[in-house]
Amino acid sequence: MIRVLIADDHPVVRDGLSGIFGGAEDFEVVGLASDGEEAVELARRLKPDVVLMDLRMPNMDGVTAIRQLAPAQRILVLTTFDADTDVLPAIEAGATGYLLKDAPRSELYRAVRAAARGEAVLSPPVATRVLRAARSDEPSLSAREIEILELVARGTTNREAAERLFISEATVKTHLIHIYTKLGVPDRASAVAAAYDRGLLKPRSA
Amino acid sequence: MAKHASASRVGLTLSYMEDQVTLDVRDDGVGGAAARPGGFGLTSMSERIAGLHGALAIESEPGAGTAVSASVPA
Repeated sequence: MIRVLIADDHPVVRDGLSGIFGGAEDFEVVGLASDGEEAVELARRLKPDVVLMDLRMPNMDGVTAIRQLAPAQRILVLTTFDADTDVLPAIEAGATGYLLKDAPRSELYRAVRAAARGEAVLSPPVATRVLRAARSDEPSLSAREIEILELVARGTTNREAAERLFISEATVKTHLIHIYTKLGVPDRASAVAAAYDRGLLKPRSA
Repeated sequence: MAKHASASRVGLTLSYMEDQVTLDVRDDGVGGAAARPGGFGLTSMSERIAGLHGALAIESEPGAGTAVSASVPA
């Protein structure tokens, strides 16, 4: 039996979810909260397996409530909104999963079961946002920076690289400084290692 | 440049980076160029770049050609 707490400021939604989970065999609705504050209080008292949490609620919003309960409490965000400004803070606050309210009943059941096991659950549009956010944190080296790093990886000195590319040594150094900053490394050897680790440089095929 | 430096090849490279733009001029001539105080070529170029909060670097060893790099904040 999975014990569920429902937090939503709309009575119709609370009742609807309560009916959906109350009518299913392996779920039990242990509490209903109408704002974040009440959700935190009930979750601490009733210790449900999963809290279904709306984000935009009066008194205390969902993200604040998640921050207070996570990571000990498994929380599945269930909301209408899938904008970056809603999704990313909720996930950073410690939500186990993020579902949209247009999810069919079967998906709701599956998601709550997965969340109860501690598995991450994301609606496809939400997953897309999370992946995009993760990718934008990756450093992207320019074609020229890759070219310079390839030369450095083969033991080329700054002077030789400048000669090869027919540019000044000063500009080679400038490119290297940008590469170090982007990769978060202090010198050429660790820049080469980091670039291989991240797949920015590929082993030359034999 | 071709005349004074006896260069056979001159390369102009414009690099756009996140925070600066750099123009490199490199040749394969005799090298040994330097900015002379009161000169009109490299000296006045250096002053003009400094006015844009940029930097001018001159690399010119005898026999190794000359590279001049002018970079300004983007």
